[in-house]
Amino acid sequence: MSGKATILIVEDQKGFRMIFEDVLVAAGYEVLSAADGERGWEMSKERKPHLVLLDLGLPKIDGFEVLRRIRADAETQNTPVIIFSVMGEQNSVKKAMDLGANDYIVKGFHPPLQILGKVKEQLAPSNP
Amino acid sequence: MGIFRFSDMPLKKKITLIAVVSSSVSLLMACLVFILSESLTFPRVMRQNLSNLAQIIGDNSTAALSFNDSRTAQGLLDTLKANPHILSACLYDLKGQVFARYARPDAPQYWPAVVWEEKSEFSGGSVRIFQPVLSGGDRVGTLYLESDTREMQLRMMDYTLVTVVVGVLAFLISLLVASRLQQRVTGPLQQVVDRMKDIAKGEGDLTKRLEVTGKDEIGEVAEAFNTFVGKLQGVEDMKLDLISVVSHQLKTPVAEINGFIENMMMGLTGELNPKQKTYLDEMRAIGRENYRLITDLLSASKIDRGVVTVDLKPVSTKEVVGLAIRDYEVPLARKGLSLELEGVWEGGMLYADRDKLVEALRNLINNAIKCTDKGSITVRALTEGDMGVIEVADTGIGMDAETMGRLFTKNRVLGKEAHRSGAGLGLYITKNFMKQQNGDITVTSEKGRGTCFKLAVPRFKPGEGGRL
Repeated sequence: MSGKATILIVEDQKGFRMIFEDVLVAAGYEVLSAADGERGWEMSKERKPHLVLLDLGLPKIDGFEVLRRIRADAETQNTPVIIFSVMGEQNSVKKAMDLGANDYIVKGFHPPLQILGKVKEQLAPSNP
Repeated sequence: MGIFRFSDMPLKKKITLIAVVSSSVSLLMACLVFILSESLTFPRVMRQNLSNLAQIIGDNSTAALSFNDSRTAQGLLDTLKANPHILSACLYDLKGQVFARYARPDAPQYWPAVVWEEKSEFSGGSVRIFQPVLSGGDRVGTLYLESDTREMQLRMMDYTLVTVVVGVLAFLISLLVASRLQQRVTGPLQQVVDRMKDIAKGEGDLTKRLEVTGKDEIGEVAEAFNTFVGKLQGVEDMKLDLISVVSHQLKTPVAEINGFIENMMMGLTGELNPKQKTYLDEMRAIGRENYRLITDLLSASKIDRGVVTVDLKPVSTKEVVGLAIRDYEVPLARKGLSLELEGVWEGGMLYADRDKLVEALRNLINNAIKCTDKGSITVRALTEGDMGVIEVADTGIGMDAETMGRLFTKNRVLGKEAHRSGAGLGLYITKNFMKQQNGDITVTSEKGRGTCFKLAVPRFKPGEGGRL
């Protein structure tokens, strides 16, 4: 790992935040977290993480809106975004991918290794 | 055979029968009354007719009587043979002596003694009258006429015949009319019955309502039924909402627990001893099954609420199969099963919802692994006419016809077969997803030999819709 990539987790469920944080920290990333959409958007703009892991169902403003703002802002529009989904919600995955998400993780289905694989894949081109 | 019972008759036969019987009875009554009244008035009419004839003959014979010309009188009476009903006739002079007489050749040659007063009588199938012959108010003799009642009998026979013919015709017409009209009564009723049976069997569409055609009792039944179905639908919606809400509420914690288990197994909480590893392995298996079951419950409730949509696009068989078999290496290896792929790489383009088709195929592969302890699982791609087919065949336990019959229903979840968690709803969901993609899922199986599921979706034909 050359330098510490910063990853922002935007997730309202404390349990999931902890799970992903632990996995990513153990893999050597620096992890930031936000518990609602508004905070998530602010942190994306202020801290400029290398990657955003974004839940869709969030308080205040939802994940779709956060994604829209990230893609609309010149400073953040190239930040890779991986969205969190739950199983059986293919439609929201499709919607988010259309809005410019780079990949998706199905919570409780994709094991940690696969999650790390997806994260590495997104970080690879911009963080050699 | 069984005893005939009116209460077992279909309503349409009852209505027809009632209409035909009542119209026939009333027509018969009318005919009987007519015949009866005819038979009462006819003797009077006959007597009148005979009296009129006597009047004419009497008037014509006054001269012959006055001039004692019996030859002319006889000639006059002989003209009566033109009337076949006249049996005999006799003209008496003032002294009561026979002046001229006539008898039909086949009738008895008998003439009674004169009766002075005017008189008519019916007896022994004939009618007789004595009538004075008057000339300018003075009596010049007496005329006797006897007629048979054959005319009356013939008339009565005619009436009877007409009654029978009219009766039969009326019966047939009323049968025709009744069987047409009963439709208007039993048709809507049959509709109610069919819809009720539909719903009772559990396949009824609760969003449909009966057409209320009138304000009669059937209209009322239809309306009451609609109200009832509306309430039922309310309960059903509530049930689906409840399933949906509960599943959503359950899904996140189960997913979280799974995540924590995964992290522990990854070693994030430190080195695990073998016992801990075994426990976590079991917990992970249970957690995954539960997650799957909850997901299935949500999908089923979406299907039942009619909020499932498909996104049909051209997709290659290769891509679908590739995505579906991705995660099964480990479970296959664990059971020592081999996965065979046939025809997949040359398989053509399909027109389907990629994710739903992949999900369906994953479901089938998952089931096949569960039900197979040794041998292989074959994923085969082929084409059948306009349809692209993907088969999943195993060498597992197979199943009997009864199980196969209930395979694609929701009922299995509630039945005895709900022993394996998550085994219940997958195929019900798959069936619905396949139908939504204009395809289908079918199964063939033999107990002890294995099972073959077949997914079929339309093949993609460039130029006919689709985005290429």
